[in-house]
Amino acid sequence: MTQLLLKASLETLYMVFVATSFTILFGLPLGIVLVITSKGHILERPLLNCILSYVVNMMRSMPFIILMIFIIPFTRLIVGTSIGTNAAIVPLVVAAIPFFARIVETSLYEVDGGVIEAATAMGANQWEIITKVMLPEALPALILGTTITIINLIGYSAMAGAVGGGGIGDLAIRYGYHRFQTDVMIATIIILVIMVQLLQSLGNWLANRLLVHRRK
Amino acid sequence: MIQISELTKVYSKNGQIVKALDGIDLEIEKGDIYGIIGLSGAGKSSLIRCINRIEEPSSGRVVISGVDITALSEKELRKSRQNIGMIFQNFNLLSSKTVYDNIAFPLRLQKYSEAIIKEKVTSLLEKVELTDKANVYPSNLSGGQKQRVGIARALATEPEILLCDEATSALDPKTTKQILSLLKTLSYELGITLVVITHEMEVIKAICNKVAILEAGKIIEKGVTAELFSTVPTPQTRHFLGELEAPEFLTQKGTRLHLTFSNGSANAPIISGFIRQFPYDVNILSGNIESIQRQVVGKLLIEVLTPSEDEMGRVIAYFEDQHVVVEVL
Ligand SMILES: Nc1ncnc2c1ncn2[C@@H]1O[C@H](COP(=O)(O)OP(=O)(O)OP(=O)(O)O)[C@@H](O)[C@H]1O
Ligand SMILES: [Mg+2]
Repeated sequence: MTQLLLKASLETLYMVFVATSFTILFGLPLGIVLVITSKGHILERPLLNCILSYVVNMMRSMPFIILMIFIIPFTRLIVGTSIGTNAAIVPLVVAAIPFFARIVETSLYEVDGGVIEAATAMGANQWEIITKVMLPEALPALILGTTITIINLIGYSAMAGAVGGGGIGDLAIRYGYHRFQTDVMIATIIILVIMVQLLQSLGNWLANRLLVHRRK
Repeated sequence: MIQISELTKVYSKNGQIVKALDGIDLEIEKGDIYGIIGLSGAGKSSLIRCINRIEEPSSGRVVISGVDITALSEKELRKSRQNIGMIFQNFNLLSSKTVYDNIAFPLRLQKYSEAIIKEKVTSLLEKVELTDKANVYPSNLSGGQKQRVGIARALATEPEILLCDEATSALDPKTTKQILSLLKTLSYELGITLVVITHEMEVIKAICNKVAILEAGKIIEKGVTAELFSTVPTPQTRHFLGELEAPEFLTQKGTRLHLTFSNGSANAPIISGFIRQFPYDVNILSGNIESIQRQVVGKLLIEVLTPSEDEMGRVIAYFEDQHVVVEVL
C-alpha cells in the first residue's frame, strides 16, 4: 500500500506542479492585461477588457467536471490522448487560468494608484510600471493568491484522477470506493490534508516574510 | 520657462461634464517658486497634472523651455518627464523598496550604472538629511521623512522643474515649515523652478515669489506675492488674501477703513499722526503684521467717525499720502 500511495502522491505532485507552471505562465499575463486595460489604467482598452472579462467569467462558471469532458477534443489535440496524468493537466490548466487571472487582477488592483502615477511622472513606460512597480508592490498578495490556486489545483487534480488521470484521487476512488478499502481512503485524505497544510503554511510564511521585511 | 496658454480640461463622468480648467494662461519663469492656490475642486491638481501630462489636456498648450509638451509623442513625453520632478500629498513611495532604492528608482529607469547611482543617491540622502535611513522601508518613516524621500527621488534626475501637489497638506505645521524651507533652499541652490499647489495661503506666503488664485477652473488673480497682498483685493480674492474682518458682535458706529501697509509705510507711526492731525475718534478693530517674501505687510481695520463725507475724503487722502492702501468697507 505504501508503494501505491507513494506513486499516487508523486503523480499528484507532478500534475499539480506542471499545471501550476502553465497556469502562472498564462494566467499572470492575463491578469495583468485585465488590470492595465481597465478604465483609467495605464493601457486603457475598454473593448478588449470587456471581451477578456466576459471570457474569463464564462470559463469560471463552468463546473470542472463538465469542463474536463467538454474539452476532451482539445486535450487530445495537445497531448495526443485523453487519459492519463498528462491528459489531466490540460483541463486543470484551463480551469485554473481564469481563476488565477482574477486573483492576479485583484492583487494588482490593490497597488496604490498614486505610486503608479509617480512612476509615470518619472518617465517609466508601461512595461517598467508592470515589472518594477505593480508586480513587486503586489508580491505578497500574489504569493498568497498562488497558494490558493495550487490548493485548488490539488483538489481538482483529485477529481481529474477519478476519470483516469492517476494520482491520489484515482487511488481513493479505485481502492477506497470501489474496493471498500477504508484504510486507503483515510490515507489519501491524510496525504491531501498534509499537502494543503504544508502549502498554505509555506505561502503564509513567504508572504509574511516579505511584509515583515517591508515594515522593518 | 513654462508657458501655459488657453489650457482647458474637461472630464466627463457618467454623462456629466465637468470643466475642471477653463482657459488657463500662465507664465512661469526660471527660478520662480510659483504658487497656485484655490479651494477644493478649483482645478489645482488638474492644472499641475497637465504640466507633465499625467492628465491629458483637453485643449491648449503647455510649452516648457520652448518645447510644446502637448505635441510630444508618448516616447518623447517620457523622455521630457525626466526633466520634470513631482512630489505628492501622499508621498507615493514604493512600499516594496528601501529609501535608497526609492531614490535610485528614477535613475535605474534611465539605466545609470550602479556606481553612479550610489554616488547620486548618497549625495541626495545627505541633502535631505536621511543618510541614516538609507536601508529603511518607507512604512517606518514619519510623514516629513517620507516627503523628504519623495523630494530626493524627484530631484534624482536633476530636473529643471519640480511640481508639488499639496506636498505639505498631510503634514503637521512644524514639519510643513521644515519641508517648505528645504524646498526653498533646494530651489535656490539648484536653480530649480517650483510649481506649488496648495489650499493654504501660509504655504504661499512662506515660499512663493509669485502666486495665481484659481477658482472654478479660472485664474482670478495672479502676480507677485508681496504685491498681491499690498493691493486692494477684489470681492473674489478677499477670502484668499486673509483680509481683516470686523468682529460681528461690534455695532458699526462710523466708517470702517481697511488699511494695508507695505514696506514704505509699515514702520511709520501713521495712526498717531492721524490723531494729531484730525479731531476725530478712531477705533482699532483688528490688525496684524507679517513678512511676506521679505516684505513687511501690515493690515489694520479701523473705524473713524467724521461729521461729513468730505471730511472722510480728507481722512482717506491723508492715509493715501502715507502710501497706505485704503479700502472703505
Ligand atoms: N478623473 C476625474 N474624473 C471626473 N472629474 C474629475 C476628475 N478629476 C477631477 N475631477 C473634477 O474636476 C474638478 C477639479 O478637480 P481637481 O482635482 O483638479 O481640484 P483640486 O483643486 O485639486 O481640488 P482638491 O483641493 O480637493 O485636491 C472637480 O470638480 C473634480 O470633481
Ligand atoms: Mg488636488
